[in-house]
Amino acid sequence: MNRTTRLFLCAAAAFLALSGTALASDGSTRGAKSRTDSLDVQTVTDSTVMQTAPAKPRKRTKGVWDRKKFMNLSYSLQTLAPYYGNECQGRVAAAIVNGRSIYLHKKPIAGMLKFSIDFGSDINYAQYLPLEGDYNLDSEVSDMLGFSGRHHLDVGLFIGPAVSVNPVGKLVITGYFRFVPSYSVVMMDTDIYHGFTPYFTYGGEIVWNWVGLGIEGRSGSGSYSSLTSLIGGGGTSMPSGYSTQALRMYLCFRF
Amino acid sequence: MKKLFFLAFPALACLALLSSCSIKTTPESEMIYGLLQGTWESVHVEGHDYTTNAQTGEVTYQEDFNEDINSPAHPDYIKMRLDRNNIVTLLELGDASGMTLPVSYAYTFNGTQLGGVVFSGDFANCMTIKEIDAASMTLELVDKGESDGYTTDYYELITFRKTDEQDN
Repeated sequence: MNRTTRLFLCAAAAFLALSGTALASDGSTRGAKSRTDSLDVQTVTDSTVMQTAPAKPRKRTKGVWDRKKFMNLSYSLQTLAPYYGNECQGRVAAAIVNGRSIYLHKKPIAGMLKFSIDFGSDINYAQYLPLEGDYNLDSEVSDMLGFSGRHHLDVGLFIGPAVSVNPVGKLVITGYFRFVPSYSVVMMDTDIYHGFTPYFTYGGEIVWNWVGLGIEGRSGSGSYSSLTSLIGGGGTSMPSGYSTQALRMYLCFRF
Repeated sequence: MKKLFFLAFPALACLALLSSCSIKTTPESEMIYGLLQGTWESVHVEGHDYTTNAQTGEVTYQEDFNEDINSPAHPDYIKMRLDRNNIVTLLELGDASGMTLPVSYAYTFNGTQLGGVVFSGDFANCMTIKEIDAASMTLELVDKGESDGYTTDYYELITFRKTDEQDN
């Protein structure tokens, strides 16, 4: 091997040696970098894990058609008229109506109309203006009860169809007709009468989200007999008829 | 489920309509009610009062009566006022039995009969209007029943005359 060849081989060896070192140093740098990178990835991964961890289950906001339960607080203008004789004008009257709507179909018609069946309970109380005139009323009943005057209590259950429209947003406009068979008790100064009275209520309401206003008419007539006569052992009394008419304005709450 | 609801609609409608159907008043009953208003005093009473032992059938008390009521001192004398508030006010009684007069009670009317404390007997819950016009009225009380082992058969036909006092 001549001198030139030896010089060439040495140069080549030196070149190779230097390259390997460079490669080795690159790898180790890369390794550090990759460790750093992996740390970053891990950090990123951890934070992602933190972000994607199952959050506390949030309450699903109720949709327009999800509020099926309702409660109405009513103020009434009510009159009670016997089949024969003067009408009793109401002094104050109030009612609580609790109920539920059962929609007859899942998807609203035309995207905004639904039919339903409403059912629930209806409790109504009314006080009437006292008798006009100079009377010395027998006080046996009022002494027994501790109060006097003219009072009327109806406790009933209702069922009936309703149609609701959701024209925009959370606004729902509803119209309904209900049959309300009720047990009715009327105190008329000197005696207490009771009987079964089938009422009808019909009206409409405008509700935004969970609160609204409504108005309804109420009417019914029934045959009443004396409760004091029955309790006192006097047997059944001669029944007499009364008709009730009322106009209710109410605050409606939907749940 | 839907079918059940749609079937329930006509059923409920029928129930509602049938329960609300009732003849409340007639022109004749309205006229009778109008004639009832005013002040009345009793002028004649007739009838009978029999009491029988329910077990033995023995008549323990028997009275037949048919007499005019000529003065407020007569035990069957009644002066009363009926008004459109369905209140009957007892103004005078031949036998007040310690009651403070005048005293007012509620009465009921179903077209042909008067009910309430004033128009009831021991067993009967009403008196029937046999005749009525602008000047006079005849009420019938049929009061039959059994109590404490005795059977009571009380029948009374009492005639009233309308006074000139103003009614409510």
